[in-house]
Amino acid sequence: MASPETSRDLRVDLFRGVALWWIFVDHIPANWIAQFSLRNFALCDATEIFVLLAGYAAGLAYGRSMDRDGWLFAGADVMRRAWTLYIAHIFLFVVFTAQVSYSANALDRSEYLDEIHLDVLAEAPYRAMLEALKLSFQPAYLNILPMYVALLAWFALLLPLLRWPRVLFLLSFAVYAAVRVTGVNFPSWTGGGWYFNPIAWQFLFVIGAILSYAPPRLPVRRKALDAAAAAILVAGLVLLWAVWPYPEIEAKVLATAARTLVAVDKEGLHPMRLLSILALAWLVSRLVPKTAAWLRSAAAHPVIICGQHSLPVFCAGIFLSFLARLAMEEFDGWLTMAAVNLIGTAALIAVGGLASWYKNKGRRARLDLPEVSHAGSAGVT
Amino acid sequence: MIKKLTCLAWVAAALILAQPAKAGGSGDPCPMRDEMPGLADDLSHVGARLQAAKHLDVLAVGSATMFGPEASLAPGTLTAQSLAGAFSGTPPASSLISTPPSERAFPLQMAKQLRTLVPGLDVQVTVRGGRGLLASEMLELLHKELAAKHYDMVIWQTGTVEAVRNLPPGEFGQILSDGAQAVQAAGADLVLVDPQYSRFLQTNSNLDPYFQALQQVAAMPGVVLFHRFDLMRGWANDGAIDLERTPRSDREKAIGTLHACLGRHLARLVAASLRG
Repeated sequence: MASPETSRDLRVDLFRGVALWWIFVDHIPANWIAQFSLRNFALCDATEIFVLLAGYAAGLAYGRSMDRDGWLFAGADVMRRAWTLYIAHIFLFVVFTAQVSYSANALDRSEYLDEIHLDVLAEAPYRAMLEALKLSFQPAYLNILPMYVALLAWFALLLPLLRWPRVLFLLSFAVYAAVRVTGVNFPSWTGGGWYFNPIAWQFLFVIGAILSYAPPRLPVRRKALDAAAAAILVAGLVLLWAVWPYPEIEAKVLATAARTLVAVDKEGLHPMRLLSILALAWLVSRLVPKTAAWLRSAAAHPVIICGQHSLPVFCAGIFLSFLARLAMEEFDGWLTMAAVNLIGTAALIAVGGLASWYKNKGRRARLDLPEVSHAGSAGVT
Repeated sequence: MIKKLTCLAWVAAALILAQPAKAGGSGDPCPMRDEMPGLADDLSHVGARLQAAKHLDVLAVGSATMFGPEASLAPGTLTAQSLAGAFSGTPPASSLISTPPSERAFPLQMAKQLRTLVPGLDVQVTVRGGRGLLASEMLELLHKELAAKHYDMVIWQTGTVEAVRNLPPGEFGQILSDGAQAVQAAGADLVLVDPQYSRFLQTNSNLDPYFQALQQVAAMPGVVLFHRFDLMRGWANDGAIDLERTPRSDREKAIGTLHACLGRHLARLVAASLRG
């Protein structure tokens, strides 16, 4: 990485770290602390944060790399990154399948397999292997990385358009709009489409990339934008807390309006979810300046480390959240719940710390030497 | 000092021993509540049958839970691997269960309760289905059974597999609605049963659209929805029946209790059609 560490936007790392932690706690069934995660307060959740910031980091790292070495070079790096994610996904698939099926057998709980959608693996193991490699068999928990792989492959193609952000934006929006209208999605072996439709989610990723590579000029009427963003978030809160829990209110709202609002789907990134994450991102960027001193504090450091090494931390989080579920079923009680959250969080930080340590492996960082690792991996680890 | 320690040990032992009392208890694990959801006014065919107090023919279609605790606990899929059709394109059709249901299965428990509630009533229950069946597969079963024989009432339990696989909720609703029309055309009433409560599904699957589809179809005449998910959530929160938190050794007993409770509540829902 040619740029010195100081220019890195630590906010991106911090909120990616937070999103990863939310993905971990949200995946634990009936986790007390999960009721304080974003999805309970907004129409978007950790996935939206993750994709927006992944796009942001990709725009920064590969955009710069393209400026320096051209499309082919940068695009090849994007594809290498997609390949790394693909390999990680397949490895996680094997680990997770082994974990769940072993637990189901050892604890005599065949419903684990049904719930996680691994039942078809037992019924047609050979076929399931092939479908897993084709990413068209995605058990529960294992649907974020396939989307990420697809997003990066798409981004490698779009890379040169970063120089014409308006064209890129319009093209990406057109594809998104087409998905919203037609509902087209990559097929899933067991029926329906991918849990996260990459053809829709690419729009959020591209927005992130444009925001970092070609940041639009800040509007003059920032206060008006603040108000609009706040209004969007409040509307989401009202829907979540005051409308959806009471079907009788829903019935009174106009039928068409109700149908649109009820079907705020995650699969195709419903416009309300998209607006929510953009509103949230705007307000957070207004409240937390890039130069905020606390971003460099010791308290923020572990979260930032996790955000900087999102792949190993994400994979560890999936494994740990299922382990936490087992623990909570065996030893019911708040003590177990506190323990799994604390130990799990510590383990995630340890994984992030280890990944970070591996960059220098104990060698003193030598700033005068050119960075050994290739440019591509710089922003998007 | 030693005395104090012994005393402490006794207290600790007493506390540990007192623990299971919360879950076990001697009281009714699933007391009837007045605010029990479900409107039975719609079950006109069943109501007429119960009024006459003679004969009620019930068809129950669903997954393994319809066959009782034994079928729910069966390891099944893990050992039932087969090479046949390994690359045939679609996932293997889940196998139908051919053995008769256990007496403890909740549809049969419902029948037992109904006989007590309506003296002299003869209830026959036919159970069809299998592990991991989709609503579309159950619809085929439904058509086949309804063509072969007359039933007064159909119990249809579905939705979990669709939610786990994230299948389009709109199509699920259409299948339910087709089924409801078929049941109606055959001169029977339909009782829909929603998924089992599970913390895992609640956390990791987007169940709401499937519940909405069930509710929409339940608004049709001649259809009611048995809110199994809500009932089971209540029992789990009370600590009365909580399958996800029950140790292995007690699980079969707990599932038995669950089926008895579901049967009782379902029977009360059906019997309410007498008053409707």
